[in-house]
Amino acid sequence: MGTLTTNTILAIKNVSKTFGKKRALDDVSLEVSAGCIFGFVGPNGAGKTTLIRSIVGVSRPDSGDIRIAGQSVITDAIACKRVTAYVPDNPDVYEFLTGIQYLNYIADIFGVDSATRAERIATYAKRLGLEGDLDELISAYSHGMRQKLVLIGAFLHEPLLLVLDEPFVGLDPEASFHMKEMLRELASRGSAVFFSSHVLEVVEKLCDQVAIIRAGRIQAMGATEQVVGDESLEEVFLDMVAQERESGEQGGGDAR
Amino acid sequence: MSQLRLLLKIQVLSLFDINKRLHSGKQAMAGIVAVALAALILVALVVAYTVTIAQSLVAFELANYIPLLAFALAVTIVIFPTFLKANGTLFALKDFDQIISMPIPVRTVVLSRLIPLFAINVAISAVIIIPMMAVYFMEGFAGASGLPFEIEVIILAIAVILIPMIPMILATLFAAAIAFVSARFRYANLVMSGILMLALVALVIASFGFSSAPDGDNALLMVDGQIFDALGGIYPPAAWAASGITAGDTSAFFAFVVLSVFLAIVAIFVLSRIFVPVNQRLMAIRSRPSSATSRGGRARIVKQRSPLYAFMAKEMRLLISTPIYFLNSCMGYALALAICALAAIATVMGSSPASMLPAEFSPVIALFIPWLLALIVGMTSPTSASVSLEGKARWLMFTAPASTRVTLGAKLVLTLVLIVPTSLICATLLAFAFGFGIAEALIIALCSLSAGGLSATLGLALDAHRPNFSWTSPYEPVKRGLPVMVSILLSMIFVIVGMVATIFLGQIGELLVIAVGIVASIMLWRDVAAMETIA
Repeated sequence: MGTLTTNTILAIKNVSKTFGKKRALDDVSLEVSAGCIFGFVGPNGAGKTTLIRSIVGVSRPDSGDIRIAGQSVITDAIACKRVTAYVPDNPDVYEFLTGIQYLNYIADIFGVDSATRAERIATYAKRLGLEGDLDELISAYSHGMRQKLVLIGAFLHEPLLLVLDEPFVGLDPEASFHMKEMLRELASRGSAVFFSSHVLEVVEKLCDQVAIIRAGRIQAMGATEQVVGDESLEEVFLDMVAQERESGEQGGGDAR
Repeated sequence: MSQLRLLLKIQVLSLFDINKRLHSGKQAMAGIVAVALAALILVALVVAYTVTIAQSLVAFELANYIPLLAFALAVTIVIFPTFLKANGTLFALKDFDQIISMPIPVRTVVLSRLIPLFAINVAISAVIIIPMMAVYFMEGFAGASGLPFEIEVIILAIAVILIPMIPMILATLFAAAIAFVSARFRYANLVMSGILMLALVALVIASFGFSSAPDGDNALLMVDGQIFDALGGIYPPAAWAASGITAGDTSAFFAFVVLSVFLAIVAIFVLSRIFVPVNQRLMAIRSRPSSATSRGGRARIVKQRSPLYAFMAKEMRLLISTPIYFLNSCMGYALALAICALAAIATVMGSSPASMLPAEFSPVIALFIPWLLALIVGMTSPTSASVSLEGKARWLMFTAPASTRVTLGAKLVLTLVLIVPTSLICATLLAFAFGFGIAEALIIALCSLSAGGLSATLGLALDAHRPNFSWTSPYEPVKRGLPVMVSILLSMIFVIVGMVATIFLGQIGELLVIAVGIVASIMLWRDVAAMETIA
């Protein structure tokens, strides 16, 4: 890792997290710059969600530091949250609200004025095909509709850092296309996007940078074309997992 | 049978988060012990209350009516948890798709849902009936029916098991009907909350009218048991069961047993037939397309509000759209308002509540009325389950750019918005009904605010420190949550301490305990506001 550059939006330094005897994150460090879309991949249970939850302030790391736009998540969580948006892997939102009530709620909490929210809600809802459903109770929404709603909520305050956990799950192809566009547009306006995904083709095509995590450790990281080389990201990922497994077996079993 | 056993096992393991706690180490086991302790204390309080009722009847030489009253009480109380739990257990259940896609007969599924509900109701029935019947037998009525005492005990045991059967069936079917009808409305849960609260207030008004008979002068003694005969007339199965014990009328008791068992079989048959169509219909209504429910697709953008206001508005919507939460949290306030309004109405109509009480109570009424109101207002608080109810959507609270002072403060402010007007209105109505001056009215309001504030801050502190986010039905944190149980219990203890202080120290003691309640509330809030993270 290099030193913190002036346009670094997200800086993770030596972060570790343990659950009981399991080391979910082991000395993880990475940086995401302004304008960058950063893909975070790894097998199930590798530590992706744990790191994401630490970035957005849901979970506190045991050691290390996470900085968003220069402010520490550990010591100034609220300042960090103000410039961040999070889209979790399961779009569980308040079912007793209507879509528009939810978006107004999010806009109020992030201090988005009426005119701006009206314009952004109209734009994003139309783009994701949700404009006719915003007056419905969320309990009547499908998984995909909830996912779209959470996405719109995440874009409302034009975050400096957008963190998404498996954002493509449940989205129809059209919404998936629009979301990729929206991520690119956000990055082009100077924000950073950090997301985890198992859809490696999308990660390869969409991301400027990529990191592969396994057993809580970063195994590979860099510009996507550097990490991938002549292979596809899927091949690189599978090779890495196989190598790790072999070395783990030769070394006595536990790769951690 | 093995399928039923497996389904029952899942139901039992989900009760009180037993399985989760069993697999979560020593701290979770301590939670089980704490829940068991709180439950034991609650049972002890109920037993003390029912024994007192039975002893009062003995004192009035109406001991012969103890079995009837015990059965009628059990029937009445069983209705509420059944009514509330039927939704989410039998209807509008979240795991309907999963359950119904399994190769299990619908009747087995229905039975697996009814049996735990029935077991809970039998436990409630036992806690109410057995202590009262113990008083009955100990007062020399063992064998009074002409039957051997052992037979009377067997009849009692059967009655304890079967008494909840009919009310449970009726409440279940009624809950299904309400769920079916209310789901047709845009805000189904709000409609359900309104219906439930209205039913509750109606029950209070009915019981008030029932106990304050025509001339007011101690209706219980005046009617010399006629009131209980009337009770038996309203619900004959309770009278049939009671006459088995009091008069040795085995044929009446047999009729009660046959009716209970017959209705149970019919209910299982009917519920098995309607289980799938009702749930499918409920799901269809829940997920119908926008044109059926929306207001022409208009999505209203609101004026920008502060985060605190936004959190509060969300809390209010949660409260009114979750029937079990609304009923459980606001029951005390609704009851307080209904009782105080009735007292004021009675005064306007020339039948002052003060005149109904014996003359020797007059000097102490002003001292104890505040604590009675405090008991009712402090009994419930929305805060006690408010953190847990964030459930799976808690990530929104955790990732919001707001301090815990704001996120949790909104929950407390909403409760205060309910408590303050309730206390002021009740104090005014009671002052009018009992002819109190401004000073007494102020003490009533302060007493209510003190108990309500303590209950609210204590419930919030407990729930923020030990939230249960992993519930599958809001019934779990609202009805079985440790913060709810403990805050109810401590609120009752606070009122008892207040009464004792008032007895020994008079108004000075009353004011002292009120001050302690307010100071404790402030300290608890400071503890909550200082939390960096929740749990």
